Amino acid sequence: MQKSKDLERARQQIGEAIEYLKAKKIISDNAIEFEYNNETYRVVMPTLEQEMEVERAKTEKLNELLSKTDENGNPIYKFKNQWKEIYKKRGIDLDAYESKLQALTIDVENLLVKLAQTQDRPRILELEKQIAKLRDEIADITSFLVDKYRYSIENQLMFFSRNYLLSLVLEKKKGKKWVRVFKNFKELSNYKDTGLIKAGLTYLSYLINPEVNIINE
Amino acid sequence: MSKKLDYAPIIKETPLEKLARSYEMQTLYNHKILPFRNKERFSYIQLLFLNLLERYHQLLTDIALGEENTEEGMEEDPLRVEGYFLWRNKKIKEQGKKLREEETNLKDKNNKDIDLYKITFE
Repeated sequence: MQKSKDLERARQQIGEAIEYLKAKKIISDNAIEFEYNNETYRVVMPTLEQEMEVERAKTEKLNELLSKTDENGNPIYKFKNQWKEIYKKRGIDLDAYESKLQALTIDVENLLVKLAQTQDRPRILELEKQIAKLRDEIADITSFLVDKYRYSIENQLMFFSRNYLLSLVLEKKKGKKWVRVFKNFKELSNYKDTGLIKAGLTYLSYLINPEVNIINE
Repeated sequence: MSKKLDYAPIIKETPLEKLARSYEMQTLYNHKILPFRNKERFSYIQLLFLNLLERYHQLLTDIALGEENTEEGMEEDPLRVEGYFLWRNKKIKEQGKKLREEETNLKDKNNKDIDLYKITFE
């Protein structure tokens, strides 16, 4: 029994050490290398020129989304606020969920301040349990809201711009050289291996701020 | 060598937090050496890391000085670290407000004193 506990602890320690080294590697440069299907790839920090290219493409995409209409001439894509109205008519008040989110965040902050002022072990653990519970609730509401705004124009644009940027900054190692994986965004859109794109997007989120999410945008 | 925590925190620290408070990274930071290959155009995660380095540097200094609400080992508990800085910032803000109020009161008092010596010529 003790042996298996020791083994589990050792396994956990090794896992933590690997994560530690991974973190060390990720922060070491503004280009992040990763392995995928036995090949070496990297995402590099976008230049100002590349960021401007994404902004131009985003504007074109916005025009495209705004101009799309159904057979009755009604716009197909809707902004976040329009989705809010639609859900409200169906009895789902998204503003109320957002207010609840703010209230929960304040509750967490108050508990954290209480936590800071105690060194009593049982009290620490009790407060930490309460904070963890509230944070779970916050995560649930956040994911509910993200889901409700999934098809908003804001979200469509964010999804588009991240993928567009990835098409510019994803590179593959060939010999000693690094070459771009996609010549353009169209090549990325038609690419069959979504696993590589998902991995690339994850590493890209370490390079640029992923916090610009559809709830706060 | 810092004292270890005698309980298991409910929420574990992230590898980035653990790295930022490590002896190696804190020593580099104290010598103003950045652990990055690039010297400019920092990535989002590098900026986050710089923020964490400063945060743990401040916390470890406060612990060493025995500041209020600190104790050795608390740096291993991310919720307590978060709470400590919330509380600390709140305290600094309150102290600032109190100082400003005291200054205003002092100014008012001085103005009143000056008024005593005012002579009106008609």
